[in-house]
Amino acid sequence: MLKLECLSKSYRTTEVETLALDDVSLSVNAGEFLAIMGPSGCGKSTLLNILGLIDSPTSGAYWFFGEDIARCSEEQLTLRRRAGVGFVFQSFNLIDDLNVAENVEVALIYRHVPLHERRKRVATALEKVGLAHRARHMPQQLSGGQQQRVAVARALVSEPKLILADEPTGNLDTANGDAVMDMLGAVTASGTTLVMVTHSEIYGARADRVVHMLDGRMTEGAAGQAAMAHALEA
Amino acid sequence: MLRNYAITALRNLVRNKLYAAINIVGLAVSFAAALLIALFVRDEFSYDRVFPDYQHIYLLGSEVSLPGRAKEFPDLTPAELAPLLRNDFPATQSIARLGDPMSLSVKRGNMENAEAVTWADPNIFDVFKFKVVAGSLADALSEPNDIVLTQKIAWKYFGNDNPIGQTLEFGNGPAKVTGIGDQEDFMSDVFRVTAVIADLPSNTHLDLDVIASARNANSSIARGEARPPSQESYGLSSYTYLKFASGIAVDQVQNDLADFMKRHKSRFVDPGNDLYVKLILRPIASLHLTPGVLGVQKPRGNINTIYATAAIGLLIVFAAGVNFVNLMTARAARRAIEVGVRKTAGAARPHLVVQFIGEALLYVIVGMTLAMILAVILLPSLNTFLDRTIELGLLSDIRSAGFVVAFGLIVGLLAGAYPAFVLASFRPASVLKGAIVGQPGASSLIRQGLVVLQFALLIGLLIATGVVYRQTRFALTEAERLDTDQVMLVMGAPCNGALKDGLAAIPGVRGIACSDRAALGMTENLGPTRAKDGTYIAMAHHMVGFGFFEFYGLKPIAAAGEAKPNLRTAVSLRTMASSAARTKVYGPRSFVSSPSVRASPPKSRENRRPATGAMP
Repeated sequence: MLKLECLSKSYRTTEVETLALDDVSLSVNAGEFLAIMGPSGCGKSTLLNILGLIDSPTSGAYWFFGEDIARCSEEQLTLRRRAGVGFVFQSFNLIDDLNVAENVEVALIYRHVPLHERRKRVATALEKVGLAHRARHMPQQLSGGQQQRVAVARALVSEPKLILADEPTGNLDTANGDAVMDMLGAVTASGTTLVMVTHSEIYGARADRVVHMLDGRMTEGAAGQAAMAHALEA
Repeated sequence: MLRNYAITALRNLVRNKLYAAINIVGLAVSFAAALLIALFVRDEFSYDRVFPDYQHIYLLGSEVSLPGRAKEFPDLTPAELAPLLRNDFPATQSIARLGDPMSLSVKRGNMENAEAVTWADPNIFDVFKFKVVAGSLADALSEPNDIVLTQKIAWKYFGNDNPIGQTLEFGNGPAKVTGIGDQEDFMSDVFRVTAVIADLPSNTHLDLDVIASARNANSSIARGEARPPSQESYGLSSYTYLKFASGIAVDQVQNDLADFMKRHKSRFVDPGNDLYVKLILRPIASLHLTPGVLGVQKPRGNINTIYATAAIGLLIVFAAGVNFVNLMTARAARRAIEVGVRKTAGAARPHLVVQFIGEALLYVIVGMTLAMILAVILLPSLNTFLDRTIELGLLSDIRSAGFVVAFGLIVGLLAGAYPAFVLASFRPASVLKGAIVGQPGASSLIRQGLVVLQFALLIGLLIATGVVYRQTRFALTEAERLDTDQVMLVMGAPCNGALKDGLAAIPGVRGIACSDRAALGMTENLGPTRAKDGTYIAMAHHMVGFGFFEFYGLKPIAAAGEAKPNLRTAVSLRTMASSAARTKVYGPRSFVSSPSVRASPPKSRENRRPATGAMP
């Protein structure tokens, strides 16, 4: 479903070029829960951004649900992201000027979902994360755990094929972290693919598969072995 | 989607009250200033368009070339031209005159005031279709003692009473200096009110309060007509209006006026002559912006002043727009997360551009609404300052309302576009990671450039304001060259011994001086003057009483005999009034004791008067 081949990403400033991803190859199957682990700065988030079509590789190939996105324009990438990707971030990233229900609704307004349908789906999503009673509250009125649950509801409400979670428990205590992980785990049970970046071995262990990264390279797992083999051949 | 945008915009505005207030107040104040300037400019261009058929109404003016002076373009022509024109240009629909307004005392019961009385031909109302408030304009001035009043004057003298058929007594009122001058007296008479017209708006060249029938023997028009027609005289006494039917070639009429002058005023048609006059037809709608100082009913506008004022208005809006762009862009970083979230949710760049331009328009709409309220509050003060009756008229004038709305939208779109594109260009991968936006780059350079431009504009406007203020102060104080502190001007009273004695008896009165016109703003009373070399030059003459120069603290730069010319005769002072031409002819010092000759016109009776002093 998702396939990366020899993918690299570098950032160039006037003085120095930084290689964030170095020859990464990876496959993620439909409905799979994949955890990406590694130290800070190893390129996990960059990889997640490329998977979510909000960043583009410098070289290599990426097949997004079977389509080579190298040929896609920015507008086409936006359409694919709108249709099939949900994001959960470590710092929640709720819009301060919108209340809980309106924040969740943001994921639907660009998909031209009718208003009554939007309201129904927002209510259902908030039910799922246990925040139906907080629908009219503003983000600043919620705890960190509650805010992350709103962010999860926002990712779920559009029923995406792929959810990308970038350290979703990084700012949460254990109880809230467990709750968020339970919600995300439940999503994969319904066939949604989940790729999660995490530092936590415990939450990583909940994944179907874990890949490790170091200095922009895969170091373990099947894809990591493929990358190693590729390097040896070269 | 739009609902979501509106909610975000309104909550953002409410959440950032101080920022929103600075932004909106900035827009409101500048829009209000620009709106008032636009109203002034519209008013300047709207002169005389209030009259139906204004396109067909022309004023017959004079182009007068006097020796030693630039050409003058008085609106006045001799009163006797109208009957000649009616005879020579029969295709003209109406030819009607207004006299040069006379200041007369108007009395009813115990109330007596000086009023400007304008004599008018009975058919003046065929030319100008005034709005009638009471009575009828048909035959309104057909009898010699008929008068038509404006609503303001009617109210002043009759209050709630019906003025139609009632009478007012007219008497002498012009300012006079005892013993000098040859102004004709007005014989007291009783006039009957036949109609009341609505007060004229300020945007007309006409200045009418009391309109009296020119058939009255005392009228300047009747007096002008009473003199036998002469090729040798050209008295500037009447405003002559011609109304043409549609389809008349006015250019041809203008050409034919040269032959008309040859037939009736042959003395003045030779350009090589010392006094050369050409008749000029001017559409009344163009009068206000046609240069003219002498013989005009109201001060004229100046197209350069209008353009400069309009440019200042545009600069103010531009500065406000730049300020708005800078404030919006400076706040962009606070919206970066939102942009990132919306982009990850599938928002395309156009979605975000629409959202943020919409927010800019919200600010502009609120700012414009406040600006209109401010303009409504400030307009009366502006009208008082300009002595105008400018109306906002946005509810009644669809075009103006459309212009204001369109202007606001364009400013909003232009000012909102840049911040919107800056915001929409944020990369979600960067901003959601918490990267600082607004780091050095092209957009930062643009912003810095805009800040520099904004400050340059504002400093420029401040300097201009300072210069205008200082110039105004200078014009009102030192430039007058007269000591007018603690001086009270009494106009219209006969300057006789009784008045002087009475005023002198008032405690605190330290001096009294008389002049035929106000010392400041003396309109020029021109007469050809022959210099000692025999050439003629048009020189301004004014009549002043004894002690006039001492009263105003004016010191002579040259005087005959005595160091302080407490001037032997009032008559001799006529030649002392300042005129630039004097310097040219005599030089300031050789002027004294030079024999000068006053002639009006040359070849007629000459008045020889010695010069006794020269004033700065």
